Amino acid sequence: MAALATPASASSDPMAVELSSDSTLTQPAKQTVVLAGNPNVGKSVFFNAYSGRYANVSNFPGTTVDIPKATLPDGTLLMDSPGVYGLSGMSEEEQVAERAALQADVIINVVCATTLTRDLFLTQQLIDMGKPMVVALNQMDDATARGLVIDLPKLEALLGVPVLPTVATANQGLDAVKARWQLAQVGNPTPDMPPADQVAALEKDPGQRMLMYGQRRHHINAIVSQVFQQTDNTAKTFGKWAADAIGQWLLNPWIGLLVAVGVLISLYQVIGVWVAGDLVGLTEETIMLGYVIPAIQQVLDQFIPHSSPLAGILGGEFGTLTMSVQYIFGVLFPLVLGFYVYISILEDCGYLPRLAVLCDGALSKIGLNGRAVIPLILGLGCVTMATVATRVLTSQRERTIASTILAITIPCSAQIGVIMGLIALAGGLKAWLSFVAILGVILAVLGTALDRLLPGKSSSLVMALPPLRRPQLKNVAIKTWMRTKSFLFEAAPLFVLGSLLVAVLQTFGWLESIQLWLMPLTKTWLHLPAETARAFVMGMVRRDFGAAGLYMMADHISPNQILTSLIVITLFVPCIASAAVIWKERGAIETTTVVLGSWGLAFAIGGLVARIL
Amino acid sequence: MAAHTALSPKEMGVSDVGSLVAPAVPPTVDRSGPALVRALSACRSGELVEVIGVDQGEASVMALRMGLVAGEVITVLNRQPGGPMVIRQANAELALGQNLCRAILVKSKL
Repeated sequence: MAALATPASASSDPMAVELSSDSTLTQPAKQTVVLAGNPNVGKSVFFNAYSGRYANVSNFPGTTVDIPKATLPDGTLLMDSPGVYGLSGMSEEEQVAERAALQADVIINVVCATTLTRDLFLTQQLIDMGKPMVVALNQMDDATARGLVIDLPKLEALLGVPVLPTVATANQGLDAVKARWQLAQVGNPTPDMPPADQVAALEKDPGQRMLMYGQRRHHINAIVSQVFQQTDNTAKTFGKWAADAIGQWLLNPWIGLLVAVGVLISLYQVIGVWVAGDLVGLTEETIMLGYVIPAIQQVLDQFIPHSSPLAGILGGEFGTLTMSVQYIFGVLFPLVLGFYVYISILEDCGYLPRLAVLCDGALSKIGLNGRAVIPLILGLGCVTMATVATRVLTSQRERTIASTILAITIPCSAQIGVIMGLIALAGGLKAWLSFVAILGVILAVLGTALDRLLPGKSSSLVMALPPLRRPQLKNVAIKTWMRTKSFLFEAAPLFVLGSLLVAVLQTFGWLESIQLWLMPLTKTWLHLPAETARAFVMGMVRRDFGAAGLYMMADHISPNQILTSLIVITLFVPCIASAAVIWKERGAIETTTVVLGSWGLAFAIGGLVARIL
Repeated sequence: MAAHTALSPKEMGVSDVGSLVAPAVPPTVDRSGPALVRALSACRSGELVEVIGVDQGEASVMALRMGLVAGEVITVLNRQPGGPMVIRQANAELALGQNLCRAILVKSKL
């Protein structure tokens, strides 16, 4: 039952399908084709080429956790899947990839020709699961340049599935692979494997898994030794040499650190100063507050009497229609766009995995590994966006640690701009160093505590380092746009909900009561004037509102008071939108813990700082 | 079938596989002895080493997937303060966290 429903039967009358072959009786008329492979082998390029849509094409392993799907003109359902080295449910990505593979009628296994020994393990595992397959041997140009010779007919015979050479980035061989979907075959399983339909389940058991993995590895190495040859016939170009040399330098702890600091400074300059300052100044102040918001309010005025509570909820200072539009399009959109451009460039040139290696030692002390560097950097842009990005982490445990650290200790760019200004007032360099040092200590203590308290153990880093290359404009543009779009689609409803909540609170005067209620805390414990309570409440709505609130009264409070309030407002609850995202990603219990924990921590540390300074 | 299943998982994963892929070196020629066997984490940057086994459950699953099995010759490209190492295995560079490096046993090649 190797051959499956043809595209013709898939699109025709279902009755005809039932009559045509008994093997399609229980199947839906539509065929499901799943792309599977190791991280960073080019699956997404295939997906994009076949679907005409764009998944993330990245030079950073582990970027696909959601499964992009597309329905092709002939009715075939095409699915991408996260890159994994094997399928045993050991991480969320593996579970997702396994689910996708089990749903497949046909699997296109994308294999990197330069790392056959590694890649064919997954290939053989899929074969052992009894799925009809086609193998696309990708990056053949690279293999040739490195002097690797692969005996394709022999590989095909040994695996028992069609093997086709491709260079996906140059669009070579993609059509040939597509043409062979229908000829996908169930391959030759590893000798002594249990029946195909039991393989996936049996490999969940650690003892069985080791046994089957051992047999499979043995089998694959035997195959590779028969089809693979390394010759001296390598093309050494200057570009390749330079990429290797720079790759080595970036991993040198000192040079690597210097480069990382340079990258962070330029990130700050681009995002913190140009985008968060100049560009947002234009989009929020000039465009939104100057034209769009007044226009919305004008339209509202025609339908709703100005004095009614509804007018306040929809069009007031925190109005659902006004503030969420102002925030989403005036602030968030330029900020997230700018950040993703930056991250996409870093990612496309292959820098991020090297940064992950540099940070792995430090991050493993707080129960994370090098991969967490991506969400943590994104957090400097927008904590909401970063919380979504924790999906790339291997375990739930790591995701909990990362999202808690993000919510509590990482100031987002909307806030950093205002903090910068305030710190200048509080005494420049000394205040800066105190601020960074205090946050650093809290991050370290919090991370270590979570690592100790949470059950289980965090996973160790395993990451292939892709070769460095010049970032490609098209890739960067596509990636940036796709990410920005999907983030806004995900976050916008949450922002609207959040602002609705605040608008209701304000319209009915509850916001004032909260401020009054907080006053004893601010005055007696934090040694701050009573009005700071207002800034703290505003900080819940938007972190930069909070910081901006402080800015307004910076003239009449002391430098130490500024520092105290800055620390409180940074540690203080994540903004409403990121709390909503944490809720969505991590659940109610974790959100409540994070919110209450951050309140306690913010006021406890703030009080201590007020007394020490 | 019987021959395979009779072996313990570790033997399956490590020794058995190595004897097949590695150039056939009779055990008697191996004069380095157990004294030179150490964890990958103890290796210096630039060293050429041969994997002889993996010491720990989760690490061995990873090692089997990546092909880091007995007989595999790897170069240590880089070691970071605080743990992770970068190795070159065949044509690929691979970063491994400290816990994995501690579990991978190697001996010097050359």
